[in-house]
Amino acid sequence: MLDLLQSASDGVLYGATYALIGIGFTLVFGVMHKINMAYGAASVGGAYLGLMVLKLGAGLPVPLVFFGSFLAGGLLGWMVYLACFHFIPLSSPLATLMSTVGMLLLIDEVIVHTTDGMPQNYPALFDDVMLRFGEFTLRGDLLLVFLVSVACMAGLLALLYRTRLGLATRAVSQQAIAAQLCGIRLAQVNVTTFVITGLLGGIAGAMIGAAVGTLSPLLTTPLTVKGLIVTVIGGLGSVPGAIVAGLLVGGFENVIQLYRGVTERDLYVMLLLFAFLVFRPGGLFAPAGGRN
Amino acid sequence: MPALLEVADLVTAYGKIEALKGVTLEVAEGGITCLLGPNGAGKTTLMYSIAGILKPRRGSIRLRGEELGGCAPHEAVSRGIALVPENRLVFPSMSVIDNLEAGAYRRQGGRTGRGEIDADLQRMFGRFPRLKERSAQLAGTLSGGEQQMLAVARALMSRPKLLLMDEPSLGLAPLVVEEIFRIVSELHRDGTTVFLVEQNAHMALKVAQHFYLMEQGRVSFSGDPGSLAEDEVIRRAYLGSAK
Ligand SMILES: Nc1ncnc2c1ncn2[C@@H]1O[C@H](COP(=O)(O)OP(=O)(O)OP(=O)(O)O)[C@@H](O)[C@H]1O
Ligand SMILES: [Mg+2]
Repeated sequence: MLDLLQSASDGVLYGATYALIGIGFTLVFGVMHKINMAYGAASVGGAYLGLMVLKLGAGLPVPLVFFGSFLAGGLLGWMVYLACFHFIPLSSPLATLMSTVGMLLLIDEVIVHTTDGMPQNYPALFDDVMLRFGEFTLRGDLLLVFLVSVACMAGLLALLYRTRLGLATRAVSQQAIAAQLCGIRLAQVNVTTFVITGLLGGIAGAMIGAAVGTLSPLLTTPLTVKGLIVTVIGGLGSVPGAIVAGLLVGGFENVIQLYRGVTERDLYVMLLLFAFLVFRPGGLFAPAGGRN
Repeated sequence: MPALLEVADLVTAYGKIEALKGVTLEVAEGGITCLLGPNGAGKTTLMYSIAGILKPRRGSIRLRGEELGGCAPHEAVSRGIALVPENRLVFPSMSVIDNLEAGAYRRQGGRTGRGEIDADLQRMFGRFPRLKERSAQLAGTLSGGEQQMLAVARALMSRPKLLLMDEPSLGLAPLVVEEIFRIVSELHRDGTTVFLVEQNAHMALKVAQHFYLMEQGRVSFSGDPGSLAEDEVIRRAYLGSAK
């Protein structure tokens, strides 16, 4: 019983990174009705670029690496937008899907080539701090991952619900024509959405690096798949849905891993997705369609 | 009265199909001009072309003599054009108040003070008391009539010189239609110029000073309410009665 609780809570803490990735997919989908397949790869890429801070000089504080990953993620988000969306006709649903798949492969290749395919150590903020409650423990690094991710989500929600930019973003994702009639510029909202989701992705990549302790090109595919699963389970376009689904998938997969081992883990995650597609295809929080 | 809006020889196409085949008309400043026409005539296409959502292929759209044709929607809003779109198109998962804030989007964060926008919000709530009662409710949960009121109020939040309305009475009960028309004439009294697309010619006759009829992408009639009622064909199609 304690084992179950322990692995569920570890999983939920780590699941915060899935939630961030799910938010990235879901926001872009909400605003543009497009899937950005390169998002997981760009997020890992942002984490890699953040590591370059360490190369600048040892002795630099570790939070700078996180911050570097954050900024690099935003930059990559902007570049993905330019390369995959800006010059490509948005009316064709397949064109941007393929351009972002191409970008996913490109980022992967660049990572493999610049690191010779070797995993890179990612610094931890502190070593093996544990909060103990009797037998139950909270790992310090996972707690940090969770708190940083939650802070980013809170920041995003404040941006969405408290600012003019957030108002424009919500308006475009709910009724793009009416948003234009209010004087909101679609292209501007599109590009800022990519930068903002890129920033979140950079943080997610950094947090994954911090929790796992290494970065490797092998991270991108599972992260992309998990992110998409979280997006679907949460309800395409729903930010609260992505948050809940991310934590749910994180906890679920860790519990499965406890009972069935790591090799069967993703199989059960797929089954969870399948169950949702059959019984609740709109996801947990399908955005309200309204009456019109 | 001078013309606030002049549309000349406007052609707008969807791919190869020209929905507007050379439309010429004017909207007098301070008046209510009404556009009638059967389904598929191109009325909505004209509204979207004026508002900048659709790019015309040829022709000109002038607002007080300044060329607008081909400008982006945000520029049209900045120059003083607001459209209450067909089917209302409220933001369904946003509260009533956020819908109105979105209407004032271009005035926010700029020179206009927050106070001025808040004052306009209060003015909208004065004009549409139902919206005040429901200010925190999600727009998608409002009734059709309330959504129409919200769409009108949202358009007014940009303080337009020219208010375009595309079939505001569509699908509404007669009492609500009367309320919409009462608001249209109030706006007119307060000095707003209105260009109204309407199928309900009976109601439109009570408020509008000038009528156009559009058929298959062309203007086929232009005249005042008197000559509209004289026209045998229009009377049969839109007023549904012999004299
Ligand atoms: N997105 C589109 N793609 C292709 N053709 C279109 C599109 N929208 C409208 N049309 C065509 O353009 C013509 C004019 O349509 P429009 O919507 O402007 O008519 P309308 O006068 O507003 O009709 P209604 O009274 O039914 O609203 C129609 O023949 C319609 O089929
Ligand atoms: Mg129409």
